[in-house]
Amino acid sequence: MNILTRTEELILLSIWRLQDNAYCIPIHELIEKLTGEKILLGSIYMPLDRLVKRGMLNSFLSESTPERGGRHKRIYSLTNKGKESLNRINELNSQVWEGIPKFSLDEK
Amino acid sequence: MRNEFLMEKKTKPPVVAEWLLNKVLPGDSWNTSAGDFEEYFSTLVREKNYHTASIWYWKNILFLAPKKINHSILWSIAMFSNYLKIAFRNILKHKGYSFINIAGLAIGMTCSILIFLWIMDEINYDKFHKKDDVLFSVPAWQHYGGTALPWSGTPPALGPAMEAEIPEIVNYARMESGRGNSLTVGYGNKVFREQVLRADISLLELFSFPLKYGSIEAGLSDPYSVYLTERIAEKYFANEDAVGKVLIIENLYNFTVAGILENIPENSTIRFDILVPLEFTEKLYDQVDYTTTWSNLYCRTYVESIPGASIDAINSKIKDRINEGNGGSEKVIPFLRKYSDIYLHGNTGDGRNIINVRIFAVIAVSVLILACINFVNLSTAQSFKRAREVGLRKVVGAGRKDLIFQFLGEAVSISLIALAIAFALTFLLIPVFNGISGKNISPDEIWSSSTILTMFSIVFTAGILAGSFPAFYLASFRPIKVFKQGAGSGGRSVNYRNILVVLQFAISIGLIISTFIIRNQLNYVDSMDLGLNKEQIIYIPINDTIRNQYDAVKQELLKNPGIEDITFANTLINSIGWNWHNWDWEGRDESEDPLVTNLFSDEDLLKTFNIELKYGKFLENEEEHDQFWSNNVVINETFADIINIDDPIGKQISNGERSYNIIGVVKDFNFKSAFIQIEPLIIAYNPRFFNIIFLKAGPQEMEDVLTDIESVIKTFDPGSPFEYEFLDESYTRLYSSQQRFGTIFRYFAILAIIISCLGLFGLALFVTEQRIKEIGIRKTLGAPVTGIMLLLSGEFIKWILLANLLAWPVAWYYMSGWLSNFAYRFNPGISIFLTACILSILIAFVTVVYQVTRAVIANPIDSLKYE
Repeated sequence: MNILTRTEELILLSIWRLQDNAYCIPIHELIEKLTGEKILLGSIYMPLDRLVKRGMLNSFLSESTPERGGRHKRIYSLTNKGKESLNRINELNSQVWEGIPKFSLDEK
Repeated sequence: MRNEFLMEKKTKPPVVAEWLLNKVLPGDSWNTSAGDFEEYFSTLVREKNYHTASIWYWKNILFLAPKKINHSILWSIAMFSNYLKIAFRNILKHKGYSFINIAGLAIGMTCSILIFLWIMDEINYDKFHKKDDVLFSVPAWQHYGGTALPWSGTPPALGPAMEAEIPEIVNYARMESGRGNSLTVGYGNKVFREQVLRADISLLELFSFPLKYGSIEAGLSDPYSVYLTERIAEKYFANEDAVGKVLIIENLYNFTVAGILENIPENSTIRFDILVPLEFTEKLYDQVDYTTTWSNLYCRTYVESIPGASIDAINSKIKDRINEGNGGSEKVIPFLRKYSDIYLHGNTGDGRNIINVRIFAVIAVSVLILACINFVNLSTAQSFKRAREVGLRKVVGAGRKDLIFQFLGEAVSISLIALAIAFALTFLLIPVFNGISGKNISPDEIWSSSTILTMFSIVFTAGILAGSFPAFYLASFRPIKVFKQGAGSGGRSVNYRNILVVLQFAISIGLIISTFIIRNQLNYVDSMDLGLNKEQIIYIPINDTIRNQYDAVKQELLKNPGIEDITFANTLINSIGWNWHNWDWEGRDESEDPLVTNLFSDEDLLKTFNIELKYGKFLENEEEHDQFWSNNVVINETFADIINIDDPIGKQISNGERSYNIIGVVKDFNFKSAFIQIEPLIIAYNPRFFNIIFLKAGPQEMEDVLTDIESVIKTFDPGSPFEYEFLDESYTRLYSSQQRFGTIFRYFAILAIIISCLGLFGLALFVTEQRIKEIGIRKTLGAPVTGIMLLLSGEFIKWILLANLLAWPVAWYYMSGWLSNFAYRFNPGISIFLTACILSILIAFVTVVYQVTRAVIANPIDSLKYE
């Protein structure tokens, strides 16, 4: 089974939304905004690397800025395989959620 | 501009943190991720402040680190346990190899541990004093007869003068120089003869000989106080409290025990069990000015300086002071010498002990190298067996680094096993080693931190040294080749192993040859013709009392029929050290100014020592002539040759204003040692210099003769105790350090041979294993057993012969250097080298014969059945 994990899904979607500006800082920022949780900046490198290795992401080096200490940005973009995976997970999500209303909590 | 710069500086994360982050951050695109972090950091700095940004940065590191560490530790533990498992399996699988490997290393290490302990003991000699940095001994240059000799004695008045007049000197202590005579010491009915050290009690302030009971003040104020070591206090007072008790010395003087000292450590030059104030000597020998004279060198002087004082400045002040004291003779020039340096380096840096330390260190390192060579040899020999393992490891992803780590680790763990064995062996061997080296090292020394530290560094050095070749060699195997062609064991590596074994044997053979040469030389020295008879001669040191009535003493002693001849002389016949320049004679070449040694004796010298008279006659009924020589003198052949007159008898020689008649020439006899050529000698009569009686005993029971001598001496000089020694023993002592050198060489030669044999044994095991099929085929084709034996062992013998060729010139070079210490030496013929050669071949043959025989008598079916 080759289904994306939730983190991977979130990362891929953020990259798609960010388009040309999809490097680590905005990705991290977006994920934090969406989930409303604090996430370590360092902890998104592992899944990013993994996604690149699995061929779902392309990456290339972009311009460097002085505030980055003269270092390049690594911009990520979705490959076709990445897009396929996202479509698949979307379908899967809608399939499993079909006909299920919003859960109401039992009162105590 | 400046502001901008500051800004930039302020928005950068700390360098240390950045470095750490690199270590803990997952993924491998460090450059861009660092950029991300830096960007975020600068944003935080802008929005909040530098402080918050730093905290954020460090928090990231802190949370990322455990993940990273867990990850790497988990994997290294897994790999490590695998390495360990494989290592132990290998050790158990090849028991023979492992035994040789471990035994060789253990022997080498034992040897190094022992030598290390010895060296530490030597280096720490006299270093235990708390004031070591500011403690100085004051030896002196003695200028007499044109030569300067360093001497330990200084005038007794020097110490007090130095303390009083040289501000850099804080304290001093004087100690009677030379070996003190033993005195009777009694307490109640316990009366024994003891060595009693007479020295200033301030000795206890300068040196760290800690007091257990009592005080130093008591001894400083009371000239009749005595200090004892625990050992001697136990002897006299058993369980009593000794402090305050009274000891009677020489049945006459009452001394109060002022303190009990801890026993003097073994590694101290100053040794004593009983200490009394120096002033006691004045009473004992009735010498009023003993402690205040400038004109004699009775005492060793020790001083304490202020920290960081300039030695040169003090030295020049001493020089001025002593010239003032002894009337400007410039003959004795004392100088400061760091006390703890003297043991190793001597008074002037010519000490023999430091040379021994160096020789020992070289031997230790060579033996360790021998052991490591074994290790390298055997591991590479075995490596082809592990080629498949290496191949497989590489196929499943082991890198060069991992493999090198694995094999180095294996080597180090084998060294650790060897170390454990070595420690046990050392423990057992320390008593034996003490016997050989003349040391008293306690087994507890092994556990001192410096020993342990050094040992572990040796283990790791040896492990890495021994493991690195196999590690790099094995790691360079190409997996595809290994699997395709089977075990790769190229001819190159076999040659290389042969070279190592040849090297090992060359070292061993060199040591064998050296041992032979040393032993032969010592035998030669022992039996060489000295030109005088040293057997059956007793000598007794005498003092003024005897000297003043020497003729009466002589007549009395001669009444004993056990004594054949007696002669009085100024010094021991094998170490005459008094000599003069400035001799003149008729027809002397201006350039000639020989240093002539002086011997003062009575008329019976020749008779007592069986020295041959060549021309003329010997001294007879001489009168005292001047302060040195008698009117008539006798010279030796060497001097006669220098004077070079056809008939020297009746000729005159002069020194300064006085001249003397040559009445005889004696045949050359050796009056120093085999180290030195016989020098010109002049024998004259002057009883004022008599210091020693030589007595030639007949073949009777020595005991009776000695008792008689003692009673005679006692009647003339009841105050002094009776001491005697045998002359031949003092000859043996001349060469004791050479003897020790020889013994040490012998033991290390044996060790080196054992280690080399282990190496050869391992190699034989390997070679025969490799050729087992060849042997099988040869046998099936009808080769005779003896032929195959010869074929196999011939190969080993060839190597040993090569080793001999290598060892001979080197051993010859070094040993002729050692032999050149001796003026009189034997000529090492080719026979010594041939003996060493034959011996080494025999040893090698015995080592390999088991392996070879086993291979030859094996049934060819077993070796060929899979073909």
